[in-house]
Amino acid sequence: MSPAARPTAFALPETPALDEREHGLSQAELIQLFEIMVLTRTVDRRLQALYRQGKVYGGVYSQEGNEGVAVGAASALEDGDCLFPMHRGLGARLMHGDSLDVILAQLLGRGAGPTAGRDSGLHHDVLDRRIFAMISHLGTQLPVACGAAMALQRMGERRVALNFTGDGATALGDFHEGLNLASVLKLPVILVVENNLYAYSTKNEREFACAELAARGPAYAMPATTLDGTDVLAVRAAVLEATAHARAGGGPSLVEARALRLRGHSEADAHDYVPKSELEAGRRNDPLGRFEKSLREWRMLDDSLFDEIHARVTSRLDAALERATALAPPDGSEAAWGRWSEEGHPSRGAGVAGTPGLAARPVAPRRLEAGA
Amino acid sequence: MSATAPPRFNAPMGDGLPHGEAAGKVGESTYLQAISRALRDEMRRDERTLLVGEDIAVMGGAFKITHGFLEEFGATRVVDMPIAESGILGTCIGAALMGLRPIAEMQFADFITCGFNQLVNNAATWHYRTGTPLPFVVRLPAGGNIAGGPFHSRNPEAWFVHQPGLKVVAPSTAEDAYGLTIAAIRDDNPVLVLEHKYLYRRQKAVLPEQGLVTQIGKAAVRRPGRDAVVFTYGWMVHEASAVADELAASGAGEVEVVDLRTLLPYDAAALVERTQACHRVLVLHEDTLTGGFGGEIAAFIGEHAFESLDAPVLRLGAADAPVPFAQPLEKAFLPSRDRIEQALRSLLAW
Repeated sequence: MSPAARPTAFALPETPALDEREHGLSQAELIQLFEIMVLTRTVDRRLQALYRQGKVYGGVYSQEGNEGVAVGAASALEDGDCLFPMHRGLGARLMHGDSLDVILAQLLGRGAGPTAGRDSGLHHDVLDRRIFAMISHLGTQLPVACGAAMALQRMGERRVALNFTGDGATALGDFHEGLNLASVLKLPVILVVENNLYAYSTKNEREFACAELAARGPAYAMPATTLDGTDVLAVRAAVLEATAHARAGGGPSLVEARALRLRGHSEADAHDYVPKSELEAGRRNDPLGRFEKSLREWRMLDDSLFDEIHARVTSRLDAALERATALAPPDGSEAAWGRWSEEGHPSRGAGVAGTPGLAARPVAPRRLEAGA
Repeated sequence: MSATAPPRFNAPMGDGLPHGEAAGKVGESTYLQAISRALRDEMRRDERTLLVGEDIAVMGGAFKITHGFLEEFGATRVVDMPIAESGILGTCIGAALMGLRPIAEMQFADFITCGFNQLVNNAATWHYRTGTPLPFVVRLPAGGNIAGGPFHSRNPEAWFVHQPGLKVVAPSTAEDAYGLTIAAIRDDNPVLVLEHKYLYRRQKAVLPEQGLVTQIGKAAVRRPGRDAVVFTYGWMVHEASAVADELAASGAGEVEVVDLRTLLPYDAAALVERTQACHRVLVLHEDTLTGGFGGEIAAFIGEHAFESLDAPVLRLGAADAPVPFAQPLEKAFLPSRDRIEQALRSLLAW
């Protein structure tokens, strides 16, 4: 793709504008948020293409349609806050300071990637940003986020742990166990349910019987809200409120953000269980298109800046992808190495890892893959 | 209950001893007290440690192992959790990721099934996947012969020795109850400690003041012999030793008893060496036989010490059934001294 080529608009023209709420962000901050969303979408689309070309293998899980939830929620975090993202977590990871080089080396299964080819998808730790891995059993990381939050309390940090999960995971036992213990122990945990309306092919009505998941909040004695996840600023505002509540010692919150998944569960999924009319309506509500339209209305974005952002994002991706592609695949002889800590690990070499004291591991400042 | 009040042993499942019975001789610790002391010593030594579990703080645990800990270490380090094993084990993972060293108590080993996924899929694979160490301990009051019935008597080790990334230890003595608990807490991996409930107040020892750490991965010869060797662990170490003493007294032969102590990773060198020394092997465990850990030990010996064997490797375990409650049933279910003796006599006669 030539950086100068004007990408087609992400959404149909009748995109509704965002809520005119007080977002408290400067123009530069709003544009940075937009650029992270554009980067997320651009990487996502490139991965789809590479998958069709047979250049990436394994599961490719697009998050088209969910960028407003991922980026909006993660934008409410500060340095030192813990992030437990999900598989459709590209935007959240980029927003909280994961790097494109690390992400691509991971997705391409390279030996120098963060899991050295041991795990697929966005299943890697970024310890100095307190971004933690997940397993494919969506829902299991909520109790883990509770443990991290307990550690934050013990270390006396006014930090929070943000966990993303899916609508299907709300049917699991860990959803209940995690929310319950977060509430009982008053832990600084925020659970964002990224409700993309389909758990693989299963509609919400087969996963939960309540009209809105916010209805579960009072049962756990915690604040809960259900909102439109295609409005990135609304998501950010709700999660900011939840983080303020948690930082003040108020305990956990539940945020349900609804946004239709615009692609299949994975790129191997024909996605034919979503009616065409529903999909078209979803595309009209594309979170990128909505945000773009509002930014233009607020005179913060024009054609020239729009093109500049896309050119910057594309060239950044091109360069990172070239670097990741050049990395060697893992060495098959290492398949049974690193099972126990004392064996060492490809990501840090042989031998015992240093164990940190009660003083937390150092947190690096957030460096965003956005902006000039 | 104040910190100074003596613990009352009001476990929901009795272990056959009257309430309140503690160590006998001056300075002796029971197996249970040894675990308690190990936890206390490490809690005092390393401020990264914390305890999570059901009924462990205010009540001091179903077996009173953490009696007085809340008063000494406070509510941020001794945490009563909701009854949610998956939640508890997930919490351990998260706290360990942040650099703490959590120690979870499963009230009974049987209840760990409710947290199975967090252990085998999440915790056990974490280091292999990411290179991030995950140091935490799961204490598992396990084993039968206490009329606990199907859900308070299980020996769950076979499920977990199949999972690379975990470590599994099973102390049989009060010294090892202390030393392996210390080693487990200092280890940088998820470690499961199988504590045998029947041994809690039956095994006693005078513990050294300091410095006792039992290395994970090393077996111990509990009773020397030359005519046959029993590879076993937990309560069965004592049953095998009693039978071996009887066989020696009757002139039937000298049977060695090897306490594996660590089941994952097991002491492969000791299996080969002691088989080469004794030539006849019985693999004994309290857990049920089919698919049990003994199959792995027997197969390993067959592969690596076949030339030294004078007889087929025999296995003995509990009957392939759930653990029954009523005493005649449980007695018939468990590997008895009679059956151990029969197995050893048939080996010695080979």
